[in-house]
Amino acid sequence: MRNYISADLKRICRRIPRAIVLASVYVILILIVVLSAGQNTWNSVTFTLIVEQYIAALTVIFGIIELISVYSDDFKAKTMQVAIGTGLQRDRVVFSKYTELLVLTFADLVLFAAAALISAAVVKTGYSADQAMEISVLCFKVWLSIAGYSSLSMILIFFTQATGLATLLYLGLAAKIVSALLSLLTDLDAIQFLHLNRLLLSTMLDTFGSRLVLNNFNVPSFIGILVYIGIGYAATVFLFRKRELEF
Amino acid sequence: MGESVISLHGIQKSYGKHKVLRGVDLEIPKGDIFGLIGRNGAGKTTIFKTILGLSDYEEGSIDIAGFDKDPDKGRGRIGFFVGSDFFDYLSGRENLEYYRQLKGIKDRNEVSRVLKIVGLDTARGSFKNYSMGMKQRLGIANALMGSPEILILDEPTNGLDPQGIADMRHLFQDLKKQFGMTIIISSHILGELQNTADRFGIVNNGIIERVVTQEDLKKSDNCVRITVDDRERARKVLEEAGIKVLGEEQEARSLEDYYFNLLGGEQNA
Repeated sequence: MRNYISADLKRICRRIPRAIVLASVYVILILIVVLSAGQNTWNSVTFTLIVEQYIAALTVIFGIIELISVYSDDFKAKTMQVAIGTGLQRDRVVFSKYTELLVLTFADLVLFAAAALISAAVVKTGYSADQAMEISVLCFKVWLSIAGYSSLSMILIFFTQATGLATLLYLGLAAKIVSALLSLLTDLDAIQFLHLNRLLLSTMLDTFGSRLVLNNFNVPSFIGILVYIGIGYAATVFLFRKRELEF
Repeated sequence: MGESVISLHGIQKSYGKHKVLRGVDLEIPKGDIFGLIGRNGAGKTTIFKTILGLSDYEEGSIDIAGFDKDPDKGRGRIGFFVGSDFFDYLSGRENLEYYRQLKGIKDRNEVSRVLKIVGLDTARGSFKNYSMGMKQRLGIANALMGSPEILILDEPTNGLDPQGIADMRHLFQDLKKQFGMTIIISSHILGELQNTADRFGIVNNGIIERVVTQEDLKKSDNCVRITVDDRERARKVLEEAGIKVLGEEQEARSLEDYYFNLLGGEQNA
């Protein structure tokens, strides 16, 4: 299993189109900060606001980049079949691929935070420890969001053995289209009193993130997020166990 | 028949209402080259998939290298070639380097070793620019990595030129002779398979209809092939000896003979 993860990570990190897209994300951030720094209202608070606005888009951007990087080429080259055919258990294949996604997105976010610091240094913007902490917390929330949404998308990935539908689902979840649709249901007068809205993954992520910024680790929402991750993961393992794999 | 390295007992498998395997019983003797033959849709690929754990089955049991309770452990001893799918943006060497790491093979020279075996050690460029035959060879090289005890090959000579087919035949025979490797080959090129394998499993309608050996094929009551320098005189001699010649036909030279005579090559290397 470790061999599979390490071989995949090395291969993915050498993928030039992925590197170009990721580099663009960092360069655009730095450019936005540098260009905004010329305005009269510029200060460390505006800097933090820009970075935070940018971070909000990263769940979609990093999630989709890495979802495709981890799975798409794998399906084309049928490496899962090789891994299973040479003795790797299927549940370990699922674990390996999920771990790869988490490792890659974590690294992306660390690099993003570094890019934010570099951009601050370039425009000589000072920022407080609290502001730096706020950026870190929001990055962590993005990572947790990717972990949650990708665990649900993984069910489709492993079941269909393709990334198309799963990427659409991920986009729907990360862009909060799915939660908006579900809110239409949970807000119906007949069931509104149940407050089902708070049980949505997106609501839990928002609650957890906003509390964490205030140095408050919200245990119920964190557990709720873990439950979603667990459900997605367990459903994937269950469905993949019997899935026929083509040569 | 010696010790079995792969045993399938009563394997049954359906796709919906369509039963693909109807109780497959198969013993692959250790150190044999075993040919699996049958029509398209007979069940050969599904048999391979069940052995490799890529397809689930409803009933029966599989024993791989003595691991009947946990075939996944046995699968660690298998190298297989079932198609030449690789990362098209990597070179052949880089692809195999990836698989060397995935399979946990420590020896860094392993990639060079297997590339040399299949004649791709000097190949350059990315996989997407490889010819069909090169892709096929790379797939076989991948199967050979780590010197597995068991080799499973699905149509390994598809896309190879006659020299390539002959090279592969010699390679498989060498692997058997030198390392005692057990090799299971599925192929529609029966003449080629007959030249390569020791034993043949005939798959028909989801079962192993029969397993025959080279000896079985040679056994025949009245039909023998005698090559003579004077056909007319041979017939006369036979008639004088009171042996009735019931049939006689001019045998065509095989295309392979003709090809190698014309172009040269290592048919019997």
